[in-house]
Amino acid sequence: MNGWQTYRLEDFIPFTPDIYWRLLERINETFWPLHILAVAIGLAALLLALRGNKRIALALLAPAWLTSGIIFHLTYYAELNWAAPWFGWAFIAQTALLLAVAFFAGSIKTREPSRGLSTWIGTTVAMVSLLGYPLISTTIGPGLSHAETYGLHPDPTAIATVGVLLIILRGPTLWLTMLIPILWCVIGSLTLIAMDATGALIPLAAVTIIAGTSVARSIKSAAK
Amino acid sequence: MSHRLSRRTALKLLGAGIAAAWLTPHLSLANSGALLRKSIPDGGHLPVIGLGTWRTFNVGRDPQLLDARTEVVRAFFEHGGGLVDSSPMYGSAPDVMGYALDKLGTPDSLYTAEKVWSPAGGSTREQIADLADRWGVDRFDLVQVHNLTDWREHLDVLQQMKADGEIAHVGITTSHGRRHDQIELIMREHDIDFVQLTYNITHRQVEDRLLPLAKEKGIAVIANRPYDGGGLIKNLKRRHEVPEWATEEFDCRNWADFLLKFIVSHPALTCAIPATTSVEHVIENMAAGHEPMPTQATRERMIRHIASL
Ligand SMILES: NC(=O)c1ccc[n+]([C@@H]2O[C@H](COP(=O)([O-])OP(=O)(O)OC[C@H]3O[C@@H](n4cnc5c(N)ncnc54)[C@H](OP(=O)(O)O)[C@@H]3O)[C@@H](O)[C@H]2O)c1
Repeated sequence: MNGWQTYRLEDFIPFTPDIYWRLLERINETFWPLHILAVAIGLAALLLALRGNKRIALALLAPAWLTSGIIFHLTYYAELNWAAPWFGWAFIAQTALLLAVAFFAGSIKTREPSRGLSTWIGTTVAMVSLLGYPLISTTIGPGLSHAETYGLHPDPTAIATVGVLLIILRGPTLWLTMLIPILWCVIGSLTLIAMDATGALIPLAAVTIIAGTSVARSIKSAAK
Repeated sequence: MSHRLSRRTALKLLGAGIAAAWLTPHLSLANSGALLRKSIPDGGHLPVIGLGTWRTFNVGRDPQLLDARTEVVRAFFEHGGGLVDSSPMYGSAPDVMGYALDKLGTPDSLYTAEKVWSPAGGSTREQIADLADRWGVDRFDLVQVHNLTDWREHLDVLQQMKADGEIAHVGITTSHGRRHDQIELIMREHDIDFVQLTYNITHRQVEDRLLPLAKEKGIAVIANRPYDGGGLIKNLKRRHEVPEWATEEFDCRNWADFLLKFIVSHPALTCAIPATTSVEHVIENMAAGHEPMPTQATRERMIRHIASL
């Protein structure tokens, strides 16, 4: 037996679940009450997106990627996982991408927020991620001290971001800006699956809903 | 083996041992026989139960978990433990061993087993120097080529280091039944002291060729994944009782006894290296290294029993 069939998902996760939950807890202990500010900025981004203020909304999404990239990946997760610095740099690249899209928002394809289904779906996903995720994540980990929050932890940051992006962007720009969040949610879910965590599929389910809605919207507008 | 245990540390360890046994009587499993030791190349003996560190010891800089793992190492040594196995692939595990040894001192029984790995960066010598620095030891007792990565290059340097007295033993590792043909070839054609491979009651492919060959060539064998990564013992503990005949035949008290005694009673096996995050489990695992061991006939009955569950 030499092949890839002998490898299982757990073989790629170099820590036990209790070590991972402690990591989340340590971040919360150290950075509380930065959580409140991070969520407030995320809510402001959502509100501005719904009011059609795309440029500021996009710019307001960027800091959460910088903070979760630096705090979660480069500072803490890097202690456990050799791949974490790569994730950290990807998060910083996403910060730059969001700022660049915000800067050029006037000349690229954006979307006027409507009361259509995709706006509702984007808003719901973003709201749940911003306000509900700390509670949802207590079903993934062992308790509230391990709760994950937008702007500090990567899963809620990625999920809320794709929700807001669905409201204001479309076409290639939407997919370009969703690429890193989607990839992260896949990695995030796989990590949780390998740790046998309940709710492991939440990040994957969230981006599937957003990506599916975006595809359905494109098909609908092409058919018009 | 390292010799850095000061009298004060020894007394501290002894005192802590007595206190731990007093405070946690349910953990100090009474042992009927002595802790089994098996001989290794160039003289010397190793206790048949060692300690793995994959996943369990990669706790980063978390002070709470650093202290918790130090307690696991403390219990391991207090119960006669020797070999600790780590790798540059195990994240912060070598640093965590360094932390624990700094807190506990370095007992005489410690037998340090490290690895070299190709994507870890740096030459063989650089990797070993970096790891020794992280463990806080002067030299390693055993350095193994992890999963045969660049084994020719690594093995040449390791042999040279052994000849120069910079390490005591040289080995190679595999797991999950991978690349056994290549392992066999190296065992036949190269001068190695140790081979590390997966062997447990549900993964016994190595019984056919590799274990007899190790016995024939006098190569010491380390069994990794003795609990098949943990799932094996956790499922057995959750769902089944240890059979009465096992208790009668070799004083088997729990599933750790059943699974580890099965492994280390193989005549070619030197040492099994279960990993754990728990003091209770490390004590249970160390107790499994004590005599009596199952006979060949009993070992066959054990295999049939597990297959029937
Ligand atoms: N290619 C290679 O070189 C290679 C490959 C694989 C492994 N290894 C080495 O072999 C070591 C052992 O393999 P492994 O860590 O993969 O798997 P393992 O030792 O078979 O299983 C470890 C798991 O068993 C559980 N456990 C330990 N003692 C227990 C007990 N008495 N009761 C209940 N559960 C118990 C631990 O959980 P708790 O924390 O709850 O106790 C841990 O999750 C590794 O740590 C590593 O050093 C080397």
